[in-house]
Amino acid sequence: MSTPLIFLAIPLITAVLLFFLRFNKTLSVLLGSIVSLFLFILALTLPENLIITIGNFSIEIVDKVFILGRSLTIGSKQLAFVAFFFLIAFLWIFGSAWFKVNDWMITVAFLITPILVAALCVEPFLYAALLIELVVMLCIPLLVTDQNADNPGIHKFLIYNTLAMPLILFSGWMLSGIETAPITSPIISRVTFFLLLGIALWLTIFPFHSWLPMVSEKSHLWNVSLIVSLLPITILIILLTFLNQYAWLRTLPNLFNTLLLLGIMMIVIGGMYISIQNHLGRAFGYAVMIEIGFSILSIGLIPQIGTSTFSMLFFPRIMSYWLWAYSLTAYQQISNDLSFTNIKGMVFQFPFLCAGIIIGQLSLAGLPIFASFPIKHFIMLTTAQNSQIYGLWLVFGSAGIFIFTIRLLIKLFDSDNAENSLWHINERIQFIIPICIMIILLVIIGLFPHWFLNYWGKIGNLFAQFPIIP
Amino acid sequence: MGVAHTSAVNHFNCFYLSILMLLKLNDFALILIISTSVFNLVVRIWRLNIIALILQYLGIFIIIGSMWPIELAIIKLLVGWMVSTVLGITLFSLKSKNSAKERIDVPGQIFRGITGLLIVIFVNYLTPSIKAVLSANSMEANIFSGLILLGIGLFQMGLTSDLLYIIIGLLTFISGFEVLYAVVEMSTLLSGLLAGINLGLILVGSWLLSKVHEGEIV
Repeated sequence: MSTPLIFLAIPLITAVLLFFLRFNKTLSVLLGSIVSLFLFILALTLPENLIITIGNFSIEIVDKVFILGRSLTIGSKQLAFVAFFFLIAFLWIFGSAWFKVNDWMITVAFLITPILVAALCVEPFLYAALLIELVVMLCIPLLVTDQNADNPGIHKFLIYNTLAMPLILFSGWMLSGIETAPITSPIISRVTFFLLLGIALWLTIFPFHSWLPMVSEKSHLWNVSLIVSLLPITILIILLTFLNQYAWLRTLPNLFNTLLLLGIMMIVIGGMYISIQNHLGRAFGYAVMIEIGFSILSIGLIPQIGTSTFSMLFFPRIMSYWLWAYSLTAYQQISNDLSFTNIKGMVFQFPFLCAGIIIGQLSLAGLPIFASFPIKHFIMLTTAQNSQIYGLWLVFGSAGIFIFTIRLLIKLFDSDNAENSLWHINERIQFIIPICIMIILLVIIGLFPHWFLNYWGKIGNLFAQFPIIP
Repeated sequence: MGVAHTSAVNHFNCFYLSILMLLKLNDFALILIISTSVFNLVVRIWRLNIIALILQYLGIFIIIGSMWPIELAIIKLLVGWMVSTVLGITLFSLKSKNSAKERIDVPGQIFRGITGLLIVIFVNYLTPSIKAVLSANSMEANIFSGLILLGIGLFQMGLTSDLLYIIIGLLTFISGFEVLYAVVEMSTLLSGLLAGINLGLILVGSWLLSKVHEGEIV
């Protein structure tokens, strides 16, 4: 038995089963949730030496398999992100039980999760580009609804990600030949250009971000939130793996400073856009852009704060995405229109959904007592210590999401007549309970971050060449 | 002695002829690739576009066949023709929509034609320096054809919002990459995975085309 077999073959076989069960929603949600939860717990609890001992009986699990001369390795270092990916799969599959998602959603979720895990475990590393392209194509059915097939956002999503694939493959080919090249070699600047352009296309870095709000406005928000939870994290880990693997790349002069600036630019542009949005779906897209900016910023700060901060950002982010997307999707099922004109006085009709939306946003924004606060506060402080100008820009960019939340609150409480201002609870219990649980969880994570975030900081241990600062 | 000399001369002639044929074949493939890709950029008649795509894949096969063993290069031809067939069948089943959309747009065609011409000229200037970068021993024609496909595929995607031509642009772009990558490396697994990507792309593209069609009917 081997870890790749467990974490790649089992979900792929489950995906085949789910394909045949796709018309039976209850059964497919049940099967999907159980298998993803099992794989999450297994990845969480497997010992570092990969030997399971029960009494006198012990099983040694191999961490590597070879397929057509290429290897897939899931060792103890990789288990943290494997657990994280299956946690995301579980949260989204379980959450989809009460939504009218398309028949493919659970099957595709079970296909893309192991493929993304494989993309991070494959050697030679350049094959990751092909696997990501495969995931992008599998995501298309999730983004398309009956009304939005001609949405330019979906076309751009496909185009930008397909353009990135050759760039990454070419840079991978060039990298293999220049491991020992001097820093002044012209090849180095070419490889860096190809690599960063490919990553920029993948990570929706400005000006390649336009598909994100288009898709989050027109597509099913639950599916969009699943995709933006999995894909950017995978690509960020790929970027760090490249930096970790090639000494000349991470010692390039000004590389980390450039990444720091790029991160701030993403946060500022995303913040400016989100502050003027009149559509909740589009705002979610820009919030994703800001979060990608924070991750790039944390990579730029790695020489000072290590890789743990970079990986600790993921868990609170995913929880906040989940709460925001869950509440929004629940409302999308009721009204289908998420524009500001349609949510006037909504808080009096759907108080729990509104609480979920607002707290999801505030948690992402890094408000004290919520989950993202400890890490974002630390990142902001470190950035300001580097340069006060950077710190000011960061505050300016982060303010965007707060401005949007204030505008949203005004609309939510803006009721036309006194009758509509009476409080009613119109949500169903299956929406109220998960929202309440997640709000409590976000507060607990915010108050006791060390209980939760230390484990996810282990994802940063993958990158042995960078300082590990607890 | 005389027999040996004649045999050596014959051998040399055969070798020379095969090189000459390869050169001519490569030139033919290059012309095929340039004309079909520019045709697909300029003309918006789906039946002719599919035929041009089929011929384009023939050109790609000849170009890659001059660098790789024929049994490996033929994968590109088979996959390309499968892709064209799937696209053709999809469009044929949606013909009512497409025939309504087909129109002669002379200013647009002139603009796209000039763009195509500019790409060819630009790539012609760019090829020697790219050859130096790739430090490959391949003929310039191979790199030239790869760059042409990349450039025209990119412009095809940028100049239209019509899904069909975005798909054709993506296929052209990926073909260009395949030709260029074939210049630098021969990998069976990569070739297989790229074939999978091509087929996946056309399945997704055809499905999207039919969804757009359904949406327009509704």
